[in-house]
Amino acid sequence: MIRNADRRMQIYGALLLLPAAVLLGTFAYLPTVATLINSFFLPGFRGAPPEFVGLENYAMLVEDRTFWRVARNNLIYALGTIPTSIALALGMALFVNARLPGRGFVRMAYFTPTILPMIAAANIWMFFYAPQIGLFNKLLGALGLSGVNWLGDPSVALTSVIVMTVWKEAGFFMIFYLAALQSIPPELKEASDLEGTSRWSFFWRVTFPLLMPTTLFVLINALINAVRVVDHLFILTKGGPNNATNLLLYYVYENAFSFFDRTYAATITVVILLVLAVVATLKFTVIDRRTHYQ
Amino acid sequence: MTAMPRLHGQRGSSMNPDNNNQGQDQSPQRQPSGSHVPMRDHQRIRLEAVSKRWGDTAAVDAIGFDVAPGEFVILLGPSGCGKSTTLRMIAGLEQATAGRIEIGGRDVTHLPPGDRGISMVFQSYALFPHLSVADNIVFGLRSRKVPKAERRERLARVAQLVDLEAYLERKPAQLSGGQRQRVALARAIISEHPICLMDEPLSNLDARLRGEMRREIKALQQRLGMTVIYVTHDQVEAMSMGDRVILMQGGRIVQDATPSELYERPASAFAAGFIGSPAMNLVTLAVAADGAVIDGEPRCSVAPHEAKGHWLGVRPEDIRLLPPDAPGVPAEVIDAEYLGADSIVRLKVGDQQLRARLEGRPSLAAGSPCRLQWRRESAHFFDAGDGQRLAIAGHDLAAPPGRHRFEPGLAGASTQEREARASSHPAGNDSSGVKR
Repeated sequence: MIRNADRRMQIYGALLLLPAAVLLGTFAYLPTVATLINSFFLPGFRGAPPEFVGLENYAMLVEDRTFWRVARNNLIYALGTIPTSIALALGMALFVNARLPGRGFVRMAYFTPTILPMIAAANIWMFFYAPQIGLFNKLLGALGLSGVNWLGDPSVALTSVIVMTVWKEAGFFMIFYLAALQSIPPELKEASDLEGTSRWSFFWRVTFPLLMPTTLFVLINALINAVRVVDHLFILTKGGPNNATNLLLYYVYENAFSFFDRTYAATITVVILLVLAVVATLKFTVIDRRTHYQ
Repeated sequence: MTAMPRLHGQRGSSMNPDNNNQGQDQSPQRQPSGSHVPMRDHQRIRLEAVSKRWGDTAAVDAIGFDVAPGEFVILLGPSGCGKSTTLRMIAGLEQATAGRIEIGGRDVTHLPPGDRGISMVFQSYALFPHLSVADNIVFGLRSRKVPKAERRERLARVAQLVDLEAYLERKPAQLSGGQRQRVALARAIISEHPICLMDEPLSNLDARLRGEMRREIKALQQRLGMTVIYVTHDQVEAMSMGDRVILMQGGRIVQDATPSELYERPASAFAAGFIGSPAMNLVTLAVAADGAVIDGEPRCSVAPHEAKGHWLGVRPEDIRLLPPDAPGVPAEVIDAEYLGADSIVRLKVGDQQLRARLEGRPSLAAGSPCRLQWRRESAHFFDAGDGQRLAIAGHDLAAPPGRHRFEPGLAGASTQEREARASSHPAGNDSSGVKR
């Protein structure tokens, strides 16, 4: 009787779990496993079955100079976007958390880029960056300076893409910082004011440590976004010129849908997943230990 | 708390339950080793017509008072009376709209909080959750760039003082409410500012712990010779800790007096109703042939004619219950609420209700008639218009003489009288009427 009731509870629990398990299994775990399996094959041509080649795809990847170029681009892209957008987000959050006139308006203005779809934002920035009619070059021209080919010059293009991404992401991260800032009790500031603590000192000794959980969260999100979001490349540069702005995921897309080499795309995907997993684990173990959670 | 015996031990034989006049003469010996006797001049606080307005509403309306060095002053009042705002203006956390605030003869009205030489204990403790107890305590010293060796030495001394030595490495979240409270105290003490402001520091503690912390804070204040301004809405804290109580209402000072004065000579009907538990009975007086009577009960005059139309206030603990054939105000028992040490009896006089506090558990049937008496000093009169105290003496309800044979008739009557006598004694215990 008791065992019967126990089993019923187990079935009940399993049923509650089922919808989430089915969704996750179908759309997350199954594709992951399929990708991993795919990466061990070469595509079969003209209806021939795919050929198992073991780690040959991975060996090819190591030799692939474009891959390393793209990986380096992605590293620069991550280093360029993550710290800048986090610092900017924190600065904006501190600014709009203070008492200032039109605070709601400023907050909304900062958040607007987040609401825009990446494609739309990229289209707007196309008009900023366009060589002849673009806003930036017009402004430079008004100052008597010769314009820059923002997206066409291989030495500038990646930076241009980074600037646009920072503009897009900072507002989003600001919301998290703003929420965290508002959960810090105002008495802490008052208590430190009574001791004559400078604003700078209070920020580094109290505010910043208390924001660490948010920073960690934002850091992980920014990292994932740096690899995951490549929508703007479709509009701005298509990875060019000469792969100067090509990023890992865009390279995966190119391999899968332009070169129709699905198994090679799967191989790159597996590598990306591995790298992301390692970085996330490192972050959570190293930084988490020093983070105070309330 | 284990800190208590040590503190008392150091004060030794100078212990005196009446601390009102002790503040001045003995304070130099109570100075902590770090501060000096001339520092005492820096402790005087003076407020002159200080106001705080938000738009049209005045949270604090032109109040002024002086706090002498070493004094423990309570700002008491219901929520929204402006007591916390007053404290925050003294601290500099809130800017005064008008008026002048002086600390140690220096105008600090527009100085930032850090330059005023004060420390503060917050209701929420305001501990830094990510810092250990030790780092919390020395936070201010680090801001003031006190050298590390001195920091460590002062930390050791203060931690011992508030009995936190075993917890220095913990985070605030790992402490109990009382321990957190003591960290907040330690942070205030270690700064060695002679003035400490406290904003309802005990309201987050449970009743038992509150009693302990009350004694602990008072003992610390006396031992260190600190000047304390303490905000509370709790009359028990006010009566038991304060050398002086400033009672506020609607942004104004109602009465500024010692706890015993506040209890024995309330300056207004509001003060009378605020101090004491249950609150003082307030009944309206009507006119009759031989003087003023309680409205609806014309048989017994309680005051001369000039009191008519005004309020009579009698504390529940000052009322004696006598048999119906004794002299006094005729009344009828409504019900009795037994509280353990005493009972609160509700009585109907005319069409008004009175409450009396009687010792033990008197056997009184609902509806039974009785007579009420109180001593002349126990009758307070307040203006019906503005509630101000009136200088009227009530009638002696025990007169006509010769009727005293009825007195022992009711259990507890004689002890009531003894109590009443004790509470009207000048050096009497302040808190006889404020049991919880």
